[in-house]
Amino acid sequence: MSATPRDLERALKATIVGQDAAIEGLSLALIADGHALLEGPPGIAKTLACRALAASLDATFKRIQFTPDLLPADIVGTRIFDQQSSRFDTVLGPIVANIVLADEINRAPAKVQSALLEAMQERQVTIGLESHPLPDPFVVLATMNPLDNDGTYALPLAQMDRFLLKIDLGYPGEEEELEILDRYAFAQTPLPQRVATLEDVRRWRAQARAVHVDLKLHRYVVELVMATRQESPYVMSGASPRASLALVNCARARAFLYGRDYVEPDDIRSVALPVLRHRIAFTHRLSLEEISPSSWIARTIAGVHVP
Amino acid sequence: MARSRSLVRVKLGIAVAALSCLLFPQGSEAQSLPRLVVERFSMSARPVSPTIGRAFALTILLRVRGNVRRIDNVTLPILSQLALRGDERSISHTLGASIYRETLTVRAERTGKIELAPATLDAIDARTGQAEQYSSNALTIVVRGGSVQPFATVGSAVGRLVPIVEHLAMIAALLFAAASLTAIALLYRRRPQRPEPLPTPPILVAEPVVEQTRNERLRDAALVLRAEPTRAVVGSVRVAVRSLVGATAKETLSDVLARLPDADRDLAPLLRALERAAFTTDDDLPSAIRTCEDAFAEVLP
Repeated sequence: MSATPRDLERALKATIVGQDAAIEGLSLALIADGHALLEGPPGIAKTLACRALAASLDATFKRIQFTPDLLPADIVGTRIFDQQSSRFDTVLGPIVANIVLADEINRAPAKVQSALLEAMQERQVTIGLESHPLPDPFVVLATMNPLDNDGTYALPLAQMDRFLLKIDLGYPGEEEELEILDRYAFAQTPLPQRVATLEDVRRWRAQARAVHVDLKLHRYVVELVMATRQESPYVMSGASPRASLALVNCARARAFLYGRDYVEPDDIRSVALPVLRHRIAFTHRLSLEEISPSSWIARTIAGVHVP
Repeated sequence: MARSRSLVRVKLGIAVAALSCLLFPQGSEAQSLPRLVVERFSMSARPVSPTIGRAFALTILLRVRGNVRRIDNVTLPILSQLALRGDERSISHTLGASIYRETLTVRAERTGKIELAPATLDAIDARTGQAEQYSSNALTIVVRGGSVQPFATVGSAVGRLVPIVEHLAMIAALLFAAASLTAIALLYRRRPQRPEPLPTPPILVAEPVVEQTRNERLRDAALVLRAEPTRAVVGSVRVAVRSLVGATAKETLSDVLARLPDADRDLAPLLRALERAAFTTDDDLPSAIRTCEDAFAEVLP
């Protein structure tokens, strides 16, 4: 009996309390073969979610703590001279893993971020003259803290665009917080057992790619993206065509996650906010008028006719 | 395929006949009138200014809600100043409505204004159960003179004395007529044909605003889907059912389901089935439509 994405979700929910939307986002990124950016205040299980995902798949997992003194070689690897053999050996960096957690990605300077984002895009790293393919599946889960901005390097929009989804994590509710205390106040947080294999993930991806998208829904996707490019005092630049592709891929993944072989408008509407929110450049007027980017996008999405 | 389609038609016929028996029980005079929901009733002429002696069309258009097979009691206005040359009736069906069209081919026998009274229809309003007389708009037709009047001959007072003058006058008149015709022919050859003036939009008579019940609308939608189980019809039926529960064009299915009133909770499976039929693959469409039909059967008594 092969595993389904729902088995994976159940395993993650058994470990992480009160972050159902984030768990669904992680599952979508995994199925749609994309990378995810997780943003939220400290202590809300961002790192735990990534570790739990890797454990439930029995995948290789590496965590990179981004700091201002980090170098590109610390991520991708380097060549070291071996005195015994009198030659240079390649030592691959922590990027070579199925699931990579780039913790606090905005704390490293631009050249380190670029090294990571290049690996995300190309799915390989080049050290010296040799290129090394990254394992399949390869998912980067990067975290950012929206509160502590001192000593951070904001990610350029072009690099943010490489992330398929931006998942906003919020504080759990009162009941959920009580449940966290009940479960983990006197015990280590247990990671889930393996519920699916990497081969299962590759199969899910193939099935998700075969999910049918009606032409009316293609038009709906384009209209959503075009709505972000409309003349507005709040928007500097709207979402790119890469956002349209990401919307369709995520909608397919969601339809598959919900056991369908066709996409519905609800799939597109549900993934639109996490797909679009990090791909739009806003003017300062938005923050001056105390409008959050998410609420502006949500309002824009709600204004588009559903097929 | 042909057999199954004819079977569907037969079934549809039986369903409509059964529905008619229920809706139009025999007995009283008022109840022998058809039960209709009149949406539009108009009368128009084309062209609006016909020429004397030339046939033109008078069209009576009646749009009623639902699938109506026959409408017999449209009363035409008195056409005493027009000669009737033909009468053609047809009923066509669109989503949730039937359109009765009667085209009269008539000819005006004199020039000037002809006033036509409205066409009328006696029917029971299906929403109130009251007998009503519906009227179309009245129509005023202006008949234009057609051919050139015959040339008047010269008086007879000097007839005997100067017959040659008469002959000359006749020849001159003939020459003038021939020259005029040639000039007109040349003029028309150079100018492009003028399009016929568009008919004036019919004046709609205000009708009482009445509502069809939820089940009547659902039954109409189910009949339409059964008669033509295609993706396009699924789309129309989906729009109709969504509007029934007050969904706006900017709401997805989950938005609609989240605020579905208790009275319409039973429509949730139907809404889900229609969503599937609207967006699923072509291979899955027949199965999705069967699910819609089952869902209709669940909600219709």
